Amino acid sequence: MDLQFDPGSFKDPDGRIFEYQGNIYRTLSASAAERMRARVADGTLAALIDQGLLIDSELVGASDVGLADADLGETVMRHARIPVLTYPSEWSFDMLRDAALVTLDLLQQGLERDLMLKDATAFNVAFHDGRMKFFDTLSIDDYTEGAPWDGYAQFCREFLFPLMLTSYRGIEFQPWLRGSLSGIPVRTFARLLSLREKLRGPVVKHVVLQAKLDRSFADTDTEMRSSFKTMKFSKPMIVANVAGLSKTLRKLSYEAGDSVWGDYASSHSYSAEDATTKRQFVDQAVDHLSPSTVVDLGGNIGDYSFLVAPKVDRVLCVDIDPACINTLYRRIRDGGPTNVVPIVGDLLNPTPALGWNLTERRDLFERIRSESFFALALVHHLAIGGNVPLPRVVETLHRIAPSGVVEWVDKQDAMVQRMLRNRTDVFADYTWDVFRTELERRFNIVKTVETHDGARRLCLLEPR
Amino acid sequence: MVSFMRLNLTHVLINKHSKSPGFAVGRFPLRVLIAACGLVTLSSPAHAYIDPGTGGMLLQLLLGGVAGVLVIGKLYWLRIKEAFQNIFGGGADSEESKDSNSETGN
Repeated sequence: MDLQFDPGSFKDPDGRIFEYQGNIYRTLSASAAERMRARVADGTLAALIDQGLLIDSELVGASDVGLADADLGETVMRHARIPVLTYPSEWSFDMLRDAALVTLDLLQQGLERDLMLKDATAFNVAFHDGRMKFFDTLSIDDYTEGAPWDGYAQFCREFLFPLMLTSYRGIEFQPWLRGSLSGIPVRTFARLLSLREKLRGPVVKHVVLQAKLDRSFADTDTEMRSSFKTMKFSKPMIVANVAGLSKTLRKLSYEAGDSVWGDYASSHSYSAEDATTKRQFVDQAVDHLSPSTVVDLGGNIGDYSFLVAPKVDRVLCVDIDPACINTLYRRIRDGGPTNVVPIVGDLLNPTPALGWNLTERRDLFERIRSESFFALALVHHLAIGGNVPLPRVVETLHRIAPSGVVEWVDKQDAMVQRMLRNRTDVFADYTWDVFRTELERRFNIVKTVETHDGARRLCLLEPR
Repeated sequence: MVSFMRLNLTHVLINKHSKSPGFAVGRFPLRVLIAACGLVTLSSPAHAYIDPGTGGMLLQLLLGGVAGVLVIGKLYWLRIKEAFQNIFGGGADSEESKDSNSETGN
């Protein structure tokens, strides 16, 4: 039987994700199946799904879906498919904050029903259908009276501290979360803050004191867990902590002070005529190629992604600038097309494979491969900004998708001139002829259109 | 093999005349306050799916109010006491007490 278990789903002995005949399932241990049946019976799952907090999930009989011989027990859980899973290091500020708020909301509602989340990792949440949704149903566990919230420190490391780092210090959190799958440790984070920041109320509580206690007692052999019951630690204390965290998160502001691209839409070099030409070209290219999936590389705030979203199943909009992706996410959240997936990603240094055996989290290219790509006003950033030779640029574009639209930006273009203003021009091979030759090695150039008085060229590329 | 000492405040409360140096805190006001709170439930720890983290657990106790503050105070007190015992030759007793209150895990 061809069951493909997700290599990143192995930590919870209660169940693993697998794919079978195009559907996504989760195995359930006997106790997990019992718990989930109870959650279905008392309406918890339905309520969370209806509110958009939890991904669509249902219990199905293993034999009813052709899994009778798979030795998986009587019941499995079927989930909605998340076509492209993105990771916290690829989210923008508001995406991580919304993921945090979804987690807290779920926990708060769970506590009202005597339930608990047994962990609080950001990897339990995914961007799906235009919003952040929780998908690790097995994290929903029974609440034991008197027990603490075990996920609190993890919540701080993976949500609160990265968001505080960006909000208070103006340092984007993405590289930090790419560097560590378990977030920012409390003692590390405490060292990153200035005295002024350490005087803020939430920082005193969640950072300074937590770090101090951790530093003082992490190496003791003392078992502390039993103290919670003894001290009559109770649910309202967790509820109060969760409410406080929620309030703190909502108050964090995001100012993209150093964003190069946040204001690109109003500062780019397109005349109204060129902009119209470009939009028409892209629109017609999608009609011609009729791809079901598009990846918009260097997609900025998603103007071209939005343009073609109604014509395709899915658009992945990848941009290096977290501020742009944040704007894009807000546009989607505020009523934009829900089949656009915002991704913070650097093509010169894409998210690598990460975690256990390098299979726990998959690399960016493996996840964004599509039927067509857009590489609009991108090639000069890779070739001149990143010193990547044109043949390699074209090779990588082809690796990502077999067809697409690429924009050539000539050396005489104002943007390229600005990139070269303080450097030696070592780019003798950066010419349209070289680029065209490389394109023709891997694609069929269907048509080209010039803009910017010939300084730029749009190319429609078919599979060769 | 890892041995660990369990901090059980009920134990402190009930064993007023304990000879165990680890819990012999006769003049410490903690037990009086706890007694006033009526916290005498014996408990067995439920295990967490993930490591809740020392700082994360203790902070929740602290945010939990007076009783939590007392637990933290107790932990600091034990630490000070241990330091004194190490300086004034009580280290051997302390080890013995640790063993007598220990559980063995792996």
